[in-house]
Amino acid sequence: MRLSSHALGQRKATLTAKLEDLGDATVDDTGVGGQTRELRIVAAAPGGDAAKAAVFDYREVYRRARGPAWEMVVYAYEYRDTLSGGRRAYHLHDGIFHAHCVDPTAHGRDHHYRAPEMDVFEAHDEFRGFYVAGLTVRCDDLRPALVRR
Amino acid sequence: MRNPKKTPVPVFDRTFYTPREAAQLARVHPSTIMNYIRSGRLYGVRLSERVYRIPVKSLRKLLAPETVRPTRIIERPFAKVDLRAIERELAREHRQDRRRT
Repeated sequence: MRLSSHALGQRKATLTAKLEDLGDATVDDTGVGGQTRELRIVAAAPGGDAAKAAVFDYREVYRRARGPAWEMVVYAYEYRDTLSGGRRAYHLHDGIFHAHCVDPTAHGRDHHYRAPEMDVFEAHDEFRGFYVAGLTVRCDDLRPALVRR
Repeated sequence: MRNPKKTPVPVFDRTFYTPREAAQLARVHPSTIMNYIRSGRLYGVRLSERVYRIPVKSLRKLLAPETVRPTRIIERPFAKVDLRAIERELAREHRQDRRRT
């Protein structure tokens, strides 16, 4: 995915606003002046003095493209249910899209699964659904990865 | 909506609130809360056609903004990002996964 600097700025602002409503957010934007840029937005929910119930951790790495644009080369969108130990993540790295999932009711074992390319907003809607509805992370809807990496 | 000098901070003891519960805390009618959600003044997650849940953080922002921790923003424009190191870090868990199974 290729984004102009302006579009990437808007993406960062929109995502920050979405996470701020769920918990205490931290935005880390590194390398905007260089050739590789990392954007990481983490929110601990519900925030304040309450015990942490869930973590939304979204990380994207971009490489500078021709013109004032950025090309996404790595992403890691993660949801961790800190109470049950469940986890769902969508990753792109080394050129391969895949998912990780831990179902806390199934021995808490982490496996990786096939996944299509995900946009951070799609992933966020799914993760937010788990959190707001109080659902335990399940992995039944994912298919195991064909090639073990 | 609340005068922070005169009115005490409401007690937020839940992670999510229904519009009715939020209305009780805010001392307004539930339809006012729904209007706030529709207008974007208050963030509420729509679970189904008639069911909304309001995260406590969102309600805090409306009723007691002085108690909300501001978002921490770190900007390091000239720090170097090591793409290979990030890929190695993400690939590490595949090896850990393989060892576990």
